Amino acid sequence: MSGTESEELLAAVRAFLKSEVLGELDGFKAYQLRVAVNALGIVKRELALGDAVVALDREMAATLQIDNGAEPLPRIIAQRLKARSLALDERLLSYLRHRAQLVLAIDNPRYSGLQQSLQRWGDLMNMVD
Amino acid sequence: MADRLLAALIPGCSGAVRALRRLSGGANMETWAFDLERGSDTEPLILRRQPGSSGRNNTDLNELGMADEAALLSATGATGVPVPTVRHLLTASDELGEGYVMSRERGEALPQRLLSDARFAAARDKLAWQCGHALGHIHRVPLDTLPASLPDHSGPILLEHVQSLLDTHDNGSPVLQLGLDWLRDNRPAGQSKALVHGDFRNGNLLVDEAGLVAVLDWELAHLGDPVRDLGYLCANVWRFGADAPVGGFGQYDDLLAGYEAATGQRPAMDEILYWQAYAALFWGTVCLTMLEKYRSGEDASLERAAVGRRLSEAEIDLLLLLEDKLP
Repeated sequence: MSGTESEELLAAVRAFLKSEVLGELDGFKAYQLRVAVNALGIVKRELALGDAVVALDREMAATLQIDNGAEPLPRIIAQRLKARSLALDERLLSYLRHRAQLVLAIDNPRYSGLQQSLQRWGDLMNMVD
Repeated sequence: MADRLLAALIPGCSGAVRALRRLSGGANMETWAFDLERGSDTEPLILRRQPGSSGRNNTDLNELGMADEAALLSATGATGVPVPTVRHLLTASDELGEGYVMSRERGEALPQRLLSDARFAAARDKLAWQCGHALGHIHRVPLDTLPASLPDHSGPILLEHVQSLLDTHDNGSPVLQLGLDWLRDNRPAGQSKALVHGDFRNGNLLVDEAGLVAVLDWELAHLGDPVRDLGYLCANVWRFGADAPVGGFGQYDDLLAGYEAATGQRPAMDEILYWQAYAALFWGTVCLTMLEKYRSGEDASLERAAVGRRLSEAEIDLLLLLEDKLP
């Protein structure tokens, strides 16, 4: 891609909405605009961290010897847990914990559960690297 | 709309509807505030309505219809639960859709303000006890005074319903599935059946400087295990970032003391934590349901799309709550 990067466009739109538009609105509309700005923040963080989620899934698929093709690995694991055909061992739990941390760091990094989990299960960044 | 409201509330229209404004709501459900003036009197009121719709507005979550919700407010108010007073049930001739008008009570319901504003400091100290006490009253409402169509979620059907919901929504989350499996394997023995508010949490409580004024948002009410309401109030997602376990404002002991004062019963902490895990799972299913509403076009609003991304909050909470309990 040449010209303005996606990250830059997102940052420009967010800044415009926050500094130019938000002050013009009140009540329900202002609330909705804050939701919109927040949603763009999720996209911004996914651009930065999304590859780490893909890598984590690929590594776990290899460990479990699952060839999931285009099907998301979490869906396959959910089905096997439901059928009770996959043991919930420490290795699987560790993957689920780290994946949940990573996805939450994209979706809502300010959520208190993320801070609690980092204290209990270690630093997210060590896992990503 | 102001004219129709006036006609519905004052035959002959000898007054005025002022300051009509929309507070919140999705595509199917609207909440409006307004003032009804008659002579020198001003009455602050709330309109809740489903424009042009009939019956339940959300089959997935089993939300009550408007008439049932109004009947429930009257039944609970009669037994001492602090609730707004129903002022008028809309009829077809009002041409305002289905809904009702109720008193607009003083106070604040915004969680962040409640948790941080110095003016609510004294209220925060009392609120957990008051919530326990109010919940005790809710759980003692005689079942034969309730609307007959109130859903019954008591017993194993509650978790079967969650499984079918997960399956309907593609069952893409192993964490929700393992949470559900754990809840199935560890159901508390001897559950009782009572009126359950279903959404009793910080955000649905109207509070002033002296504490709890009114319990709002009854659309998820049903029959079920009463301890569910206590666990729900303590769920991490409804603490809004604060540390205190009860809604971000209070302690378990105060909640249980208030509950015991009203009912003579003090649920065990294990049970409270069980229902906290259920609350996290429930939040996950709400996120999935909202996402589906967005994708299907039933309610293609920004809010629905955004809530769908909060699934990861439910997942982390389940994993934290069950950390010591899983193999």
